[in-house]
Amino acid sequence: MSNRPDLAAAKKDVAAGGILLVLAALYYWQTQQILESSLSDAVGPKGLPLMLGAGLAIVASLIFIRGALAFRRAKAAAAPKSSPDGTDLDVASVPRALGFIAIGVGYILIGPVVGYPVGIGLLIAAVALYEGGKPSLGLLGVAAGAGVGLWIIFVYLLGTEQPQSWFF
Amino acid sequence: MDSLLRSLTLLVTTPLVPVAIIGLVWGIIGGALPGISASITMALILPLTYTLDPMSAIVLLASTYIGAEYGGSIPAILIRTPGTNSAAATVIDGYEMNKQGRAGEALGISLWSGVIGSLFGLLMLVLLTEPLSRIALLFRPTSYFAIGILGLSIIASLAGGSLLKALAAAIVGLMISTIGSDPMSGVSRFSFGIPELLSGVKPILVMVGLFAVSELLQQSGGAGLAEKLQQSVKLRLPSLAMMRRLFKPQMIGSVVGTFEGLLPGGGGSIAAFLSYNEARRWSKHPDEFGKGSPEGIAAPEAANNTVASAALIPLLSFGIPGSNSAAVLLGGLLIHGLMPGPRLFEQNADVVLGLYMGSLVATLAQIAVGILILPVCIWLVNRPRPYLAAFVFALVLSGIYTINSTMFDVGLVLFGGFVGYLMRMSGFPFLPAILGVVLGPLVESNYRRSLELSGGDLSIFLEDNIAIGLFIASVVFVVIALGREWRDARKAKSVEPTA
Repeated sequence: MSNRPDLAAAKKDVAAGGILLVLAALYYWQTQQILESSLSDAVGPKGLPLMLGAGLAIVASLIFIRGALAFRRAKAAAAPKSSPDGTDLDVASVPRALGFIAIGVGYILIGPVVGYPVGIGLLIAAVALYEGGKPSLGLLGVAAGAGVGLWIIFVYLLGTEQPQSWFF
Repeated sequence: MDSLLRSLTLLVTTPLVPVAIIGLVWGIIGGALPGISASITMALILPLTYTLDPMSAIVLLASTYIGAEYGGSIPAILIRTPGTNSAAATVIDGYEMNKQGRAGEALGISLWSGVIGSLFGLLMLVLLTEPLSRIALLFRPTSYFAIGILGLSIIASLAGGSLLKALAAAIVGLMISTIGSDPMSGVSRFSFGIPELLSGVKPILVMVGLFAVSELLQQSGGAGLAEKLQQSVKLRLPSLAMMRRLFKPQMIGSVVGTFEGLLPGGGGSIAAFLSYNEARRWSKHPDEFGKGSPEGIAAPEAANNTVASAALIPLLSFGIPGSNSAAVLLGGLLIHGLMPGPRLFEQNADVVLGLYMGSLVATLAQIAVGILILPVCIWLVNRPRPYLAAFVFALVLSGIYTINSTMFDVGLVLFGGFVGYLMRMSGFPFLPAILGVVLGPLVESNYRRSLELSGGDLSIFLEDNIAIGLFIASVVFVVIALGREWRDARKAKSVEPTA
């Protein structure tokens, strides 16, 4: 692997530093909204959050600056796109991850409507298809079987609660 | 004698044995699935511990950890793909033995060495934990605040990669811990009028999101295993002569594993590679290493199984988890209101004794369960990847719902998973963030209690020698990590070709 500064990693550091700075600012602003109580101690409910907000702002600035400097060096050296932080993940893969999350959000929305066994079966079918499974009766059977199987395990064997509809 | 009687009573009067075996089975299966690490296997079962009594919950998690360490070696030996990170060193000689038609023998050596390593680690756990925890009896609020800071500093410095990113992760974890009602005044903080946030964000949601969901997102769209596991492999335990030969590398692995387990941030994979090198150095057959040496499997497998028990020593003594898996176990303790430290041994002695006995049961049962469950593991690992991903996702979402019976938690875990995915992408470590969430309440309450005692005077922290020592240690860890990072950067710069 080349030891030259990595353009992609530097960009990620700049972006991460920027996002963390925004987070620090939002957190600091929200800390100001915390009400003081007459029961408050010497430090108060705002004490630690104020320190954390300031601490994150400092660390985020350092990450941002370091990333910006590395970006400048990498650009000057016309570095190849290696990934020294040990990750092969690329920004281009984010939509795929968001698609996966969307299936989970779909389950949150329809689970309480259709009930647990149907909802979880649909989730399994959707994820299997999303991950490259071919639409087939077999897939349908696995999803239905897993839905019923998990329903029996969680609700009847373990006695835990799962989303309920009118039917299940 | 009294402890022995109590232990035997626990064995027959509680569901300790079946729970330990269930955890072991789950651990071996999870560990055998490539991409599902020991911590993910534990995180997947963590929500279910809500329905169990504290002792069963802890035994279930500990035996899962033990099982996962062995399970990881199955695909490492059979298809050169370690099921867990700590099984990476086992690949070297394990897969070579497989290529020579000795897969069953390699699996047997791995299992046997895992049992020896687990027994050694358990012995260390029993001998060292309680005496170490007594140190904590001397602690004042200032010392507790300082140990929280030390824990975060150690993990941030040893997490690997950038110290700045680890510190940022730790601060974000601490920020998450401030969500909900203020522990001292009851004032609502960062809850945005959402009732579900008033009680705060439970560490378990952060753990499952970061470990399990982000792993699924990372693997999404990836290809399945290139190679299928052979269905016909039969596990063969080593002969007596072989057991004698393996004893030395097993002891090397166990000693290295104990030290690595005690050091926060050490972990099973470092211990496995270190012990592999040491075993080769001390072996009568060093030339066999890398070509299918049984000793090359025995040392790393003993080491990573020892770590599984030894990592619990700093966790139970001071509440500092040294690895991702230990952090999940800490989550299990906190779920049941159990705080590590000396009071755990006084007030919940049965839970601790149960943990020891459960770990012993899981370790001994590993031999029989390991042999019986091998075909099941092979069958599961050979399932198409889309179905495995779908099933794991369903298990995650179902498990999370059981905690508070609300879809809000499911949403939080999905959000946490996406944040974890972005953290992986940018090289931010998870453990400091998780430790921040877990240690946040301890750090804040003791900081505020200290200043309450001193009337707001910060010099109270300089009046406690333990706190001073812990602060100095924190600074030393951070400075060493900064020095390492600066050295690495200089080294990279010095070999950088001029454009």
